[in-house]
Amino acid sequence: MTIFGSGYRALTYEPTSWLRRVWALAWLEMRGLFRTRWGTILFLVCQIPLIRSLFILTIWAGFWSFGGGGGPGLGRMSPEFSPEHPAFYLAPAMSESGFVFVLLLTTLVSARSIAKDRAARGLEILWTRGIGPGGYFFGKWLGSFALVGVGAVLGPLAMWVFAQSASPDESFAATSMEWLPRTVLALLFFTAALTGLATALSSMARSPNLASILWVVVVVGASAVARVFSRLFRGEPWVRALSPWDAAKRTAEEIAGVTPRIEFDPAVAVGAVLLYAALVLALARRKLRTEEAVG
Amino acid sequence: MIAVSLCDVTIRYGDFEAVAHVSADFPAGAVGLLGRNGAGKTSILKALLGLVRPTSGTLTISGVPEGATAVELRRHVGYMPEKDCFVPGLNGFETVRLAAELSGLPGREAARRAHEVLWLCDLGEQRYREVSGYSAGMRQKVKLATALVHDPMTLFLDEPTNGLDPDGRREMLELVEGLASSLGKSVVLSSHILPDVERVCRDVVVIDRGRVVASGPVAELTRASIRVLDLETGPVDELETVLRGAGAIEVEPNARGGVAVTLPESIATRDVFRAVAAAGGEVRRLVERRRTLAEVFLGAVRADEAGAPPAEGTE
Amino acid sequence: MIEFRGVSKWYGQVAALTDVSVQIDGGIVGLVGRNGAGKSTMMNLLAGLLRPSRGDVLVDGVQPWRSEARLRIGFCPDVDSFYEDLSGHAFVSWLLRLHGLRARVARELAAAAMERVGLADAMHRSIRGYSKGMRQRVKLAQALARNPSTLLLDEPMTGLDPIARHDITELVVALEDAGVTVLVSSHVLQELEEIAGRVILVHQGRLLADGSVHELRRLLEDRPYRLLVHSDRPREVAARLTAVEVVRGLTVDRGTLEVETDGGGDLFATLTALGAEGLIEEVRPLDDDLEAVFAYLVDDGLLSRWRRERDREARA
Repeated sequence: MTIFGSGYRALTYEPTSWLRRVWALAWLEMRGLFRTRWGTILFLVCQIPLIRSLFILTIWAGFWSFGGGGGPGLGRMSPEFSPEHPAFYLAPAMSESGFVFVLLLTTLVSARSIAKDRAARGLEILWTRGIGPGGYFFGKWLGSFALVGVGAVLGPLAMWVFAQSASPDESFAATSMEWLPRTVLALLFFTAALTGLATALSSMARSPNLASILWVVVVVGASAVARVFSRLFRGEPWVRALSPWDAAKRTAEEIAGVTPRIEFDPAVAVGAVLLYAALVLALARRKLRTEEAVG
Repeated sequence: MIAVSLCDVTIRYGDFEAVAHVSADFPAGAVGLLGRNGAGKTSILKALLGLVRPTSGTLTISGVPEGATAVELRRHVGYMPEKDCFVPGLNGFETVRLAAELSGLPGREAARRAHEVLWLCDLGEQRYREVSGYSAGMRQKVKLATALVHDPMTLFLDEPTNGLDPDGRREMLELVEGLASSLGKSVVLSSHILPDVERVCRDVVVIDRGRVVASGPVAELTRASIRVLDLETGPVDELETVLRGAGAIEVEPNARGGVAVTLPESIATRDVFRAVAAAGGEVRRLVERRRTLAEVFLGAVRADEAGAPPAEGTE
Repeated sequence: MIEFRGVSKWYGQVAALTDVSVQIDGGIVGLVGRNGAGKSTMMNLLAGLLRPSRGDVLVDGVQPWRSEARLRIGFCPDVDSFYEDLSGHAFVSWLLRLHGLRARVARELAAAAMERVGLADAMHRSIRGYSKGMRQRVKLAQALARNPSTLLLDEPMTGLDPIARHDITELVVALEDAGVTVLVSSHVLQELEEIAGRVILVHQGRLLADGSVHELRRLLEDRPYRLLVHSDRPREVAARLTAVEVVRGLTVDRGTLEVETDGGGDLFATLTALGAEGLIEEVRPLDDDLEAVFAYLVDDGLLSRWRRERDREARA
């Protein structure tokens, strides 16, 4: 016969790697949206561009036809409508219609991620454990990157697999392998850059709502400014690069090797992206100092 | 055994000296860290958690290897913040499990351990409810659970009874006492509610204006300089005369309806019992009066302002 | 003077206070209870912020929401709400002007009140830069400024450091000496016990007890008393005490002996005799403080509460 004690147990454990610890945070961030029904619906709404692409793909594959136009006919309108062209895979994230949904998702996930913890003083709990501010930031970014990446990177990849299996011969596989790695890289870069910027901005706002507004203002506002300025300074490439969105897009298009919708010097775009990244990361670093976690 | 030791620690933020040459030893068990707002307690806690590096001096925490990084250090210490804080959107269990995973517990162990400490902190029933909907008492408990989940040797608890009602306070104090006495943890308890500290802590360190102004065992620090006994008896005629006859210097009525008896060193407690017995009475209460910790605190702070050396209690 | 006459308060379906009758003629009275027991509702009723659903609340014979009562009542709420940009002095004098005082009089009274709470040096700085303790003092100053006859303090000590606690305690005691009736709620029972001669305990919206700690403990006679006896020879003392009929239990722990007793009998006579032999250093009752009384009453089982009521009726 035994009466057992309080249940407190001394622990012996080999601490997990830094990456595993950070991943715990990222995994939570990634699932955050799905905790509520509205979040799940919202996520699905944000996948509309992907559904559109899927629809185009089925037409291309000949599942149904509209007045005999068929698949190849669509491709003649624009490379965006041809699964044989890398532009088709970039479209869900980077086209004009994709813009709205990616912006929505980053606004609701990435831009709020750090600000909501700060508002609830969660930083005090999280930073006094086995990660520092750097790990925390990385985890938060990784989570929203992975979430946005589901629609922006994994979706197009799945689309490619589907196109591959639907195409009658080997030629699609052979030709597409030439551009596919670069396209995926472009998508990864684009998603990483946008979620990174949004996460960094998130660390600067006091409340999640302010952070969301800040992010929208930065993206939409800078685009608008760039548009106005491009009228004033016709032909100056740096004007379009004023918008971080356009700069990231131009860089991604360069990586993928597709014809850009708005032509300007890729070097300027890359420079602008690097400049923005350096700027927001430096600001985020200042805002995420350990001294401020307690008290 | 010394759990935490500060040796000539100075912490400066720019020109502001938050902590000035503090040397203090925190013995194992529960120790109170007292001080008014802005006295330097928070800075010391930050330094002990590896969040700020002391400008000069050394901190040693028992069980932490020398030269450990801030992250390594935090495996050995647990911290319960003062302010109301939580990770938004998570329930109690997820909060504690996340804390465990961030401390480096492998996934499955983190989950198992989270359940265990939540039950230990008496939050088992509510662990699947969102923390944002918790009452003040439950929030304090979930913070304690996160502080405990990675089995640290030393715990820093900042105002654990803040905002709690009498029942919540009693439960929390019992938990803290249990951590120190039954589980063998070293607990540094920072609190403004001195009756709580007096109840749980055997030793205290009092900080003011960045310096130690008093430290030592509570029993020593609260010892009164004059021997006064609080006495309550069954009905005795002319109690004052009886006591003065036994050698009392002064007999005054006290707040609770008894008398405060001032005795010279030469008179033993036994003589008081004898005098009461001889007068046909019985002793219902006979307690040597002590200073309260609040009095000790005020005395130390005022003495320091007047430039006196720190009060030190010895074993 | 404060009076509750059969007061009930409902918020929609929620009963916050049920049939409370109590009269306070003066002094410092402590109001204790768990979170949500009805303390704040009582305070708010007295401050005139709420009206009772049934019954009557009177302060100096006047219903507190009437304007003639307002100047007699000083209320220090438990929540902070300030105009952060104003200085402490400006805030208090602004509140006084809301009560219909002239600007000059309001300024003078505000300055006097700020000095009284120890904020004379800081009173012209903006509240934004005030610490927790200073904010609490501003709240106290606005409650005091109109020299009220009744002061209501809802958790005045929360978050304050020991120095501020001490200062406020001293201030409250000084006010009592000046004839102000003070009703103060607090969760830190030891602190409350030091200043309040009388305690009102509310539980689940009802009045559970009212009186001095001492009296209340005596009424709980069905509860065993616990004594801590310090002795150099605890085992010897224990052996002698086992013979005493009213002793229920004895626990020896190094130099101390815990005695559980029903009270009465010849326990104390035996202890006195042992003390006269030099065997006992200290006799310390463990549970005649507010905390023990609170715990006994609030955590009491239904059965023992009924039994106590029956006994009381039988006596009456």
